[in-house]
Amino acid sequence: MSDLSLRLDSVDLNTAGAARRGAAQVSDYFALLKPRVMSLVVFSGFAGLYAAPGELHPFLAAVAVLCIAVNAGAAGAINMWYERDIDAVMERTRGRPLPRGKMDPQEALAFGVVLSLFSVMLMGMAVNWVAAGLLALANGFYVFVYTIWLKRRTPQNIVIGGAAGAFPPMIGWAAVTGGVDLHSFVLFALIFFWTPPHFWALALYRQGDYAKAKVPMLPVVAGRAATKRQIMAYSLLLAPLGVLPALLGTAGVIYGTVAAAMGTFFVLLAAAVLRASDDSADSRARGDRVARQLFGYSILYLFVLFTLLIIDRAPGLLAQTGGFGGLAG
Amino acid sequence: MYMAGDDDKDRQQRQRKKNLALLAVLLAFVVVVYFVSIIRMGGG
Repeated sequence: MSDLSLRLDSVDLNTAGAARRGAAQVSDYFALLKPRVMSLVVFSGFAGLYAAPGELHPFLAAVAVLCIAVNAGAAGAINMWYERDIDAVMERTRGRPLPRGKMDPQEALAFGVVLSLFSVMLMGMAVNWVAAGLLALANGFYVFVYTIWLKRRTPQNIVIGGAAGAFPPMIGWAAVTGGVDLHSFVLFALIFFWTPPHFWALALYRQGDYAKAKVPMLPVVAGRAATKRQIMAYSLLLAPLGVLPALLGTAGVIYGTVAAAMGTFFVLLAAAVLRASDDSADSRARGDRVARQLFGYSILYLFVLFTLLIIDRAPGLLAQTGGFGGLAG
Repeated sequence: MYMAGDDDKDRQQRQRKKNLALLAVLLAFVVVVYFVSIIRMGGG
């Protein structure tokens, strides 16, 4: 299947809306950076950096977090450039700068590419080249593997593509330690296995949007029942994985206890989604409400876990609680 | 009533804001590189 055939015929490739020269405002460039996605990336990147053993000058740590943020935003801008055709037909995304014709698509692409290069080079020069390499890998994975290659071809798009979003804590960790180890890999795996239930919950109640844009999200291609089973399977994998940082000594007892409790509730919500019937419009609306709850809860789950990871490492707070035996010291 | 002059004025204002934002970003970049250099040369 050629790449062009994956494009929506009804949307002009050059401009989803007719771009007016000079119409873009500073806020439109900011919107290109997907600030809401960026905030989670920054947070998890900071958590990885803070939880890592070792020391990094506070200013260099701030530069590392800035590079992670700018790089994620730049990847988002390139993603918006490539997806301007489907963004124009999806309710959730039609308010973005490119579908509204606020700027020329090439301008958005150039903005994303320049910021990507800038953030990788600065990370390499200011912090270390392992972190910079991982940053470049995360960017390339999101743009080429997820956005260009997988998203329009397979319902497993967010499973593999989700790896791009899992890199930030590993990058933060590498910024301090200069390498990758089991601890940072577990943090990577935590986000990797969190991503499918998170996005498929969204896709369940936004199914119509994805179908209209011809994006092969799992509910569109395999149906709601199969999606719910997959959500359940990934939730069952995620719940024990969430506790692993405490078992490895990356985090303490309080983290482990909360992760176990929240992971259990995650599985219970996934079970509620699985049980929800799709027989009638009413029951389907109820099912959508549960899916929306799971989506919201999944954000809270990750936010709380990474917050506790930070608190556990904060001197004088909970650090003395130690791990559940500190298998890895 | 629509006036062509208003459109030009809006465009100039938007462009001015974009130029100032770019200037701020460039200045911030210079400051960051300066402090990174100082820290790295100090063995940080």
